Amino acid sequence: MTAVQKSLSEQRYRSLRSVIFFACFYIYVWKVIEPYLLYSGYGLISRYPAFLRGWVFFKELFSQSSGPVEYAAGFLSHVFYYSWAGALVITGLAWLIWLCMNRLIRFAGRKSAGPLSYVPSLLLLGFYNGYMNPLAAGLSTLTVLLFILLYERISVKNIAISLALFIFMTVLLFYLAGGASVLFIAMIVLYRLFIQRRVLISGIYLVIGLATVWAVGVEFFGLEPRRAYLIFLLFHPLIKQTTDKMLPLYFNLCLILVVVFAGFFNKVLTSQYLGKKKKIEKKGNPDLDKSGGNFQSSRSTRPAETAILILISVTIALFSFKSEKKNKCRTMYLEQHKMWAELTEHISQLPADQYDLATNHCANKALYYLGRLGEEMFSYSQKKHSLMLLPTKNIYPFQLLSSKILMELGSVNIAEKQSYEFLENTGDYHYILKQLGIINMVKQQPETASVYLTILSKDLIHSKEGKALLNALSKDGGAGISEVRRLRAIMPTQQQVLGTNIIESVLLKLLEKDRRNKMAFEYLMAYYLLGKQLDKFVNNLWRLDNFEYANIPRNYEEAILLYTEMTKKKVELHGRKIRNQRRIPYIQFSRTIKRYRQNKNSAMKALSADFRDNYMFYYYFGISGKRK
Amino acid sequence: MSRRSGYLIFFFILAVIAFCVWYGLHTFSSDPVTIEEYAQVSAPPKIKPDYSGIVIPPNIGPLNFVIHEPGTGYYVKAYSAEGTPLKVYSKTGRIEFSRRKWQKLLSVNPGKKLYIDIYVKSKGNGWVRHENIVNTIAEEPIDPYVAYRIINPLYNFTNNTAIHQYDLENNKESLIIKGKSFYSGCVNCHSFLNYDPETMLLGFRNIVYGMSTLFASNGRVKKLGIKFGHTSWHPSGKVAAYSIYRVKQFFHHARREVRDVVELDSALAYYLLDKQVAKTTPEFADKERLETQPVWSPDGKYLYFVSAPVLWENRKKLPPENFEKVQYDLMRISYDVETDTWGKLETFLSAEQTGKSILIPRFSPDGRFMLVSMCDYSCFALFQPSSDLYLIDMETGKYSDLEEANSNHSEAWHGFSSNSRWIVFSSKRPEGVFTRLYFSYIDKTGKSSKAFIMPQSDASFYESSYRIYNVPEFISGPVKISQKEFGRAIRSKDEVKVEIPFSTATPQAPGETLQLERE
Repeated sequence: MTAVQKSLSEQRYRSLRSVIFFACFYIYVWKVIEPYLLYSGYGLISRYPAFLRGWVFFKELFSQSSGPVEYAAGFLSHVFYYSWAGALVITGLAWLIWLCMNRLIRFAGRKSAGPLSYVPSLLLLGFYNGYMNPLAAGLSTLTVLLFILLYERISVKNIAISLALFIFMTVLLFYLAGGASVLFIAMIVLYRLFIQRRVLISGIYLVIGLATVWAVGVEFFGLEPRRAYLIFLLFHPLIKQTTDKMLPLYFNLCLILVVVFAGFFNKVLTSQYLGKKKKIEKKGNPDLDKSGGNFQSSRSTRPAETAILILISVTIALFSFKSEKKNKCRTMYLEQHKMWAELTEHISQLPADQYDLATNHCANKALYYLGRLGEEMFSYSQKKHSLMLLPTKNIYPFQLLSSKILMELGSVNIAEKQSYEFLENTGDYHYILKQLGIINMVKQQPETASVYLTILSKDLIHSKEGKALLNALSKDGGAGISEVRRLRAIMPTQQQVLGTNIIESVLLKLLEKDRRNKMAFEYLMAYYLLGKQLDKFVNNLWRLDNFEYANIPRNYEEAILLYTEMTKKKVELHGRKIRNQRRIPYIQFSRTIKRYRQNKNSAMKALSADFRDNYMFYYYFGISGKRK
Repeated sequence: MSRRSGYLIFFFILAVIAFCVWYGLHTFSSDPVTIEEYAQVSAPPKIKPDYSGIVIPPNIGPLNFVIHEPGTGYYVKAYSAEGTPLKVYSKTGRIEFSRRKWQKLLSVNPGKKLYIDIYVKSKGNGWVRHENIVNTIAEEPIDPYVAYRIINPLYNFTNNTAIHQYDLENNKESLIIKGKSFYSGCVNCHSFLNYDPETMLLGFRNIVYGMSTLFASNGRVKKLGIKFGHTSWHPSGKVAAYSIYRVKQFFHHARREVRDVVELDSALAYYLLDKQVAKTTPEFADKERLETQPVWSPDGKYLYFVSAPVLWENRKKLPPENFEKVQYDLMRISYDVETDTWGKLETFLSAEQTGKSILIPRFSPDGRFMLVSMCDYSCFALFQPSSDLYLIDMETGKYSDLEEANSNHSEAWHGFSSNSRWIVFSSKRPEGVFTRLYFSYIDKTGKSSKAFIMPQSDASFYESSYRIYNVPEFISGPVKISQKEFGRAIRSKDEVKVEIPFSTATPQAPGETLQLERE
């Protein structure tokens, strides 16, 4: 086989390998990561990416540093709504980064970088596998790589012109991708240092590069120095506020990029590649394998390289996968789509360490909508504050869920408060825009409603919904919308200040306005049960008359039995009866408790198998739920 | 095809596109419509913002608007006694005038009427001419800039506060400083000395850099080791009076405005710039009263402020007892700036007389009028739908409701222009949610004109913006100190040490926010 044939065969092999790799990458992202789940988790596990159609938003983003990249990232992040398209975006980005890396490595002297060029793409996969959305950072890295390639391709020999070009590109890059320009500077400096071995020149590039970032970032855009240098590398605002865990990862990504190249350049340097290359060029031999065999891919090393690639890929796929985050996103997805039966099923299967306050909240909500809150509430582990996620202090993801539950209950004003808190923290999140639109329709503030719905109508995915609501608003102020009518009928109208006991204050106010507000009733009773306030619970049992329960809900029966035993007072049940199937377990429970009077732990162990879904168990031991 | 041919074709296509763009722009910016026949409608057209029946400054930027009438074409002609009429044709109803032509038209017609004819073309029925809009161009100009704070509708959390300035002659907004430039900090309580954009005080707070006040003067910014609340400069520039307060927010179940605010404790203090010392006096730091919102009289001889008795025993309970009965009186105390001595405290106008809480006193620079907000109760007018603007005639002591300028919603955060003829204020009209800036003309007798919203170059700006504008202050030109300079001062470890020989009225309990965010 001639050298040319070898080279072609090598090229074909690499191309085929990359096609197979990225095809697998796409399928993995589409079917395992499922980008629509990431979309459902926006505002909860990752920051909602800002994007609105129209000139105003475009102008706003394009008038600030890194705005263009953020604009693109915002747009592409919304595409995740469609899983296949989201997978295409992620794979496309990974592929482009790989392509640039390949070029860059070849540009630096190697004919093939082997699995090395896949590293950034695999890191990207790792981030998505951990249910983060580093699209803005990924795009900025891609921009940097493109700029490096462009800069080196232009390859001006005159040092002054080369420096001028370097400054121009740093400025442009800072505008496009913010502090990612620091990576550009680092790469160019390393190239000058290790490839060209021009220590002085590389020092000049470093000083000029950093000074340029200062001039553009601090002097022109007025950024804080730290932000000017580190935006998109360490302290990107889109990720800073969601999870600090991501920062070291990003740091690693950037560091690895630099180290990989530094190491590579170093290798090139030590093998005196440059000298060899010149010789080859003189001889006119296109086959670089022969000249740089120690670091070139050859037929014999291909299987090893491919095996390494597979190994790294599988390792990253396995070890970076965050099932708890995926489950959280799925919980949010099912909650957002009101798939209550699927939601309870999903939550039932969650491991105990993935069952948090928000999940508990969603479980209770699903149980209510399935008509099983009073029956099965204590089948799930119950946490304090889970009912309405109030008070929510600084935990901003809860603001969305609490605003939703308040809205569903009918507490329009307090839902409005929570919505605004979320809006301030998260930005133009479509659901909150819609909710504020509805709230203002309910409060007969059409112009205000119109503002939020107009913004919603510029959302990439939910614009139709926004336009439909705007139409309804213009017709009759929203009176034709059933949700508006429902809320107008049940929202409190009597002026009163929200008390210090927020939940009780809200629920009682709702029941005062509409005694048949079943959700408010069940949540009030659940609130009393959770707080072990049995006297208040019993005092509100009369409200059962306002609804058509076939029987007293199971957990209520258990609480009534407990209360009767403890206080020796008769509870007025308005003709209802405690079912026998509740009395028998209660007797068993009481006997066991008496038997282990001195030892609470032993009592808990003895009762745990049969009574963990029983209110009495919760009352005595403070825990509940069948699952471990 | 050779490479050269490829380039030629490419540049030819580029030239065609450029011509099309140029032609399109030319066509839309000219007057393509000649209306010979039209039907007359007696009703005025519905336009947003409402720029009809108002008095406008001769130097204001274009009052762009959107016509909200069904139609397929819209034609507007604006004209006055002199100058070339402005003509705008639009297919969408967005009417945006040429800035240059608008300025020219207004500048040659001070004191005259500005007429705006509006024609709407409906499908199949031809053109309809609505009753024209008639505005008056005042003779007195408005200050060219206004500085204000922008926030989102806020409750407890704040991420996006910024101080902006607006070029009223050119409808252009620019940033003075934004909180995000120093770790999502909050910027507030800006105050300028005698409308001078070069001399200002600005409060900030932030988890990294703490809480302090910036003092900008002659292009330099210094950080003072003290945080001012509501601040007012003495006209001499030697003293700044400010309030300190312990403010709390609470919420209503059913009221249209969900939020409410109470100052559980407050007092006044003053800062002597030369001596770098903060002081107070028992007259305005009474433990049994809530003193706040100071303002100096234009001659500097009096400090005016508002004050209310503390109506609760428990200073920690929220909301406190009788919060809905708290009404502030307007007080004044004489001052000699040369000797730093205070005179006797007087009640200038009591809440008992007005039946309302008197808030945010602001003088006209000629000293003739004082503008205040009055509402049913509270120290914070913007959360009170009953809040209206009232003008006090300082010669007679009589006060009157600014009927033409007020609305059914909250009006507050007002201020006079340097020529005393214009006022700017925040208003929550039309629905009590978004606070926007409005202007009104005040004639020499104190009569106000119908208020109009701050114009924007984008005619539909307010239809998709939830930004809140408040604490506007007129300034005679742009603030030239860069954001970088403010940022540097905030981050700097150097601060002017201020001697504070008194205990503050707002001790901060562990875990408690000293100043909650408010509009």
